[in-house]
Amino acid sequence: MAGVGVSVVVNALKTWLIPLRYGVERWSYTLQRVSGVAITLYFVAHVVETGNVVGGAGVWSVPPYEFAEMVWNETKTFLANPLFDAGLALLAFMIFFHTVNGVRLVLAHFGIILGKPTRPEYPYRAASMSKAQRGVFWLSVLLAVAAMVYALDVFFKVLQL
Amino acid sequence: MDRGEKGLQEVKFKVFRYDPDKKDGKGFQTYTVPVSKGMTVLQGLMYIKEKLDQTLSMRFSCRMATCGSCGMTINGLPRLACYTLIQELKTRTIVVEPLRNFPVIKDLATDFEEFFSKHRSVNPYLIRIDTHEQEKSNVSYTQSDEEVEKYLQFAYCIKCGLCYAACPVVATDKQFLGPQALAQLYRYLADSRDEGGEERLRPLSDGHSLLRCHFAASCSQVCPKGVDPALAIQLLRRELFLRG
Amino acid sequence: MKEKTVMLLHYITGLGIIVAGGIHLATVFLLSPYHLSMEFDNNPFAVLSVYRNILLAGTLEVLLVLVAFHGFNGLRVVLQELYQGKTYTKAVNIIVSVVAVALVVYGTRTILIAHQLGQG
Ligand code: SF4
Ligand code: FES
Repeated sequence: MAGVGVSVVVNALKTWLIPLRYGVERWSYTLQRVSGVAITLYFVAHVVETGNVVGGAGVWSVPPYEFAEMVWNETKTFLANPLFDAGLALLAFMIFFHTVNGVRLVLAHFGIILGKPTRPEYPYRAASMSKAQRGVFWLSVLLAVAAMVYALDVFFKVLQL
Repeated sequence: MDRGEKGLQEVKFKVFRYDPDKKDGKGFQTYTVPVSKGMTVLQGLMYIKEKLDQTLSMRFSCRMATCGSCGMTINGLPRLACYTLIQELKTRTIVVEPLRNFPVIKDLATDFEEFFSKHRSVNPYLIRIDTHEQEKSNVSYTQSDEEVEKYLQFAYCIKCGLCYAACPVVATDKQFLGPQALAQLYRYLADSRDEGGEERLRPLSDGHSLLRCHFAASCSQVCPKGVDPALAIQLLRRELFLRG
Repeated sequence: MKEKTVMLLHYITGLGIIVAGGIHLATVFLLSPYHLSMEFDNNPFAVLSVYRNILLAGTLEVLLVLVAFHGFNGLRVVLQELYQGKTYTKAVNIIVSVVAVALVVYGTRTILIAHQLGQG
């Protein structure tokens, strides 16, 4: 039983995480999946961490102002290291990619940025791989890289302060 | 075979072998095959079967990309063996495996039962409300060029299963209908003679049949007939969301 | 709920996050320098000032709900594609919904408390 479970997961990870050989759309599929899961995990951590500032799960009333300020500053010092900053920069990439690529997927799912069905004549060029659709994919990569560079700049300047 | 042409003189075929009757059945076996110009992978495999090893099992029939029986994984991609030139591959060793996402029967022959039953499940025929008129009618249904264009591309499917083997969703979700069946569903939905409409769309609102497609478009990448199942699936989704 | 409706909501929440998340990122990065936004109080875009402002705090609440739905539905889709089975499907649906609701409750508590803290 456990063996079956492991082989199911291994097979899934192989097909989900290795986008080689199938072109740009397969990369979009893999990156969208990985970034989505990563952002959700970050979201959970973010909500928990900000919740700690006002007292954590045990406290359901307003804590003293000084206490919240102290925890906030402690958290800030704890997170101020290159590892977390690099992680956030990567997250900036993922958020921007997931957002713009997500818009692209919604448009594609409604058949908006795809070509029209035509008589297939050799050599076949699939209308689903339209210039518009691929353009938005590359736009999402571009914006994601820009966001990552911006984040790196912001965070590593912060470190020098 | 070898008439002294320039280019490759011989290639190695690394073929996946599996015999259900033997215990240690799975593994690869390598054969050396002389090549001539314009030779296909299928011809290479036939050479192996005729001259080197009669126990090799595979499926083929038309040898001209029409019957859809010779689908297999060639150098990592699902392709038709009869439609893939050895020279085109540009490798000295050609790795031939059965199609992914299909259970293997023996060597390169795979079981298409699940694939065909999904195809059947989408009612791949014209549905008319008035059956009497359909059976006894003496008029033909005329269609304009634009009406034909809406579905013709999807009607070229030869049910070779390459798209089904390429799909990352089919790999883990057996309830997903897969690119081939969904493309056929759309082919009939988009046909102006078909009156299935609602009836065709209704079963698609569940979680698995259609909505698990995330537009990885690998199906359209490998389809040998230019069917573009990814396009059909997105247009089908559009119908489901706006009309269904 | 029909799966079709869920997916439609997935797209709508996704588009909503672009607006709400955009405002959130703008207050942190664009409207004032990052190191000032990271201060606890005492400047217009410091953390507590954001929560003090009823509109910005409201945006955070909206963002919380939207991301919780969109993110956890995405996670659910991934898990449903991994394996199929009656018990498994049910278990995934229930666990994912419970965690998402718990997170919304916890996050709402943070926003309410921080808002009151800002008043006092
Ligand atoms: S859609 Fe293309 S790849 Fe898929 S079965 Fe039909 S012909 Fe083969
Ligand atoms: S043998 Fe018929 S398609 Fe290849």
